[in-house]
Amino acid sequence: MFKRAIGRLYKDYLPPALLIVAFVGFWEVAVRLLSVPRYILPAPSRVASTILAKQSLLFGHTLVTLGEIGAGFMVALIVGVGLAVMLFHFSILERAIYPFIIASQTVPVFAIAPLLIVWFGYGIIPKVIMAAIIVFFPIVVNTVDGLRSADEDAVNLLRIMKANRLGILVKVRFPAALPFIFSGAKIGVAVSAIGAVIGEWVGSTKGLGYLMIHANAQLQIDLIFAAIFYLSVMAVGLFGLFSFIEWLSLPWRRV
Amino acid sequence: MKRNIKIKLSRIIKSFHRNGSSLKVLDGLDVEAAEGELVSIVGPSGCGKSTLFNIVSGLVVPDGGDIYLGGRKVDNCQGMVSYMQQKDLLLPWRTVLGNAVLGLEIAGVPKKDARREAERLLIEFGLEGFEKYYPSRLSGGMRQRAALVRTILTKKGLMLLDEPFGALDAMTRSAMQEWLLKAWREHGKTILFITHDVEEAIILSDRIYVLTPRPGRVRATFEVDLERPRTITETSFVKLKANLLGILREEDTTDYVQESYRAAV
Repeated sequence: MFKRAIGRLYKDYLPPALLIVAFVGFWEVAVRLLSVPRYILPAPSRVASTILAKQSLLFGHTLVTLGEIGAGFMVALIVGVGLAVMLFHFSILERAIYPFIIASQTVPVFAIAPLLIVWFGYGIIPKVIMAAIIVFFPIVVNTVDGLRSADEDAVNLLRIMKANRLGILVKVRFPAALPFIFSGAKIGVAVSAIGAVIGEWVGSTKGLGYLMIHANAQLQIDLIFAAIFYLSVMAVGLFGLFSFIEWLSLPWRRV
Repeated sequence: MKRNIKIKLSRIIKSFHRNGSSLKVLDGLDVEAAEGELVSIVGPSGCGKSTLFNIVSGLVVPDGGDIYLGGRKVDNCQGMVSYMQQKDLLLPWRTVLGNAVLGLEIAGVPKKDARREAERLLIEFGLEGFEKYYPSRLSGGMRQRAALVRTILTKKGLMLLDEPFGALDAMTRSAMQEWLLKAWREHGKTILFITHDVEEAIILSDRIYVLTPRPGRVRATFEVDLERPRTITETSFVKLKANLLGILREEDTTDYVQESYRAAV
């Protein structure tokens, strides 16, 4: 059992680990051989030492961004799933609103960010909204698809048992939609940082996006890379967290 | 001894309309079952057997005809029948026990009581030790048995079974027929049973209705007075089967006289 787990870890994680090592090694060697100045491209070793040296600074800003993403995500999840249930049950609502939901995806979030800053100021709210906008779409679309994926014969069985709409939703449609909702949430959480960081770029005094803009102005490229590193780790961590919650919530899908 | 009529379907008519053309599926169907009777409906595919059940259970509204349940005229039997089909329709996110109590749960029976009843019945149906399993881990026969437990537990006097064993292999199917007969004897339900398997109909039924091809009407009625358990090699069984098959294979049914037969030892 233990041996097999090790073997699987090996198979799953060895290829990407090797790729990262090769890439970082190439980067390090290239920078040193070509003597690239560090305000253009710092060597990975330098980025690593910045990551260590500025730990508390980076960590503080990461918490800010994480808070924005978390809040934005929760808002998107609640509003998204709620709206999807409404859209599913009232077809007139679906016909009226769905085109706008899709059209909204063609508006670049970059364009909205300055407006949100004007309306809501430099605080956390515009960033939360930005993150929510990005997460919202995959959650709504996936939830509607999920509700629709329920076995209509099972729905009819409950109708014959005289279950009401709420009963059918809770006992059949929602559980059927859960795997879809998790897919949407995982896509959403992986890209949610984009919204928060853009919000921070446009106007803020805290967060990894702020730190990046600030470092850019001072040509502290190593600090930018350090911030990107933290962002990536955070996104991967969130994705992993959601995969774990998914595993916990869908026991019937475990083999 | 004439028993009380549990369900009576009288002159049921139904057409479906699609793309401007209409398709007559049922044309004046008469079927009845007395309290505690097991009645089969046999017919060629497409003769409207499933539509008939959808009408009884309230999913489809008939164009004409009357439904009487326990002597009272009703629009349909929604909430008053339990229903099972070829697909077991077990909810994959519920354990065997969770699936078994579904009907009771919807009827508002307290959780504890529902569980206790379900556990007892699951043991009766050889599912002891599998209560906490998800359906995906069960064999086809076990899943269908779990579905049968759910159907019986739904606590309705009338069970509609729409080819419930149609997807099972011959061995499992014959075992399931025995389970069903046992449950029927012990729980005193009235059962309407759809099948296209003539042998299955004879093994199970008190009465068999043979339907015509679409539009469905009753072509013949067979009262089956053979002693149970019935063996398929018995002379009377074989005769009845030949008779039934003969009627089912008739090509031209435009002009026929409705017939009644009585098969007894």
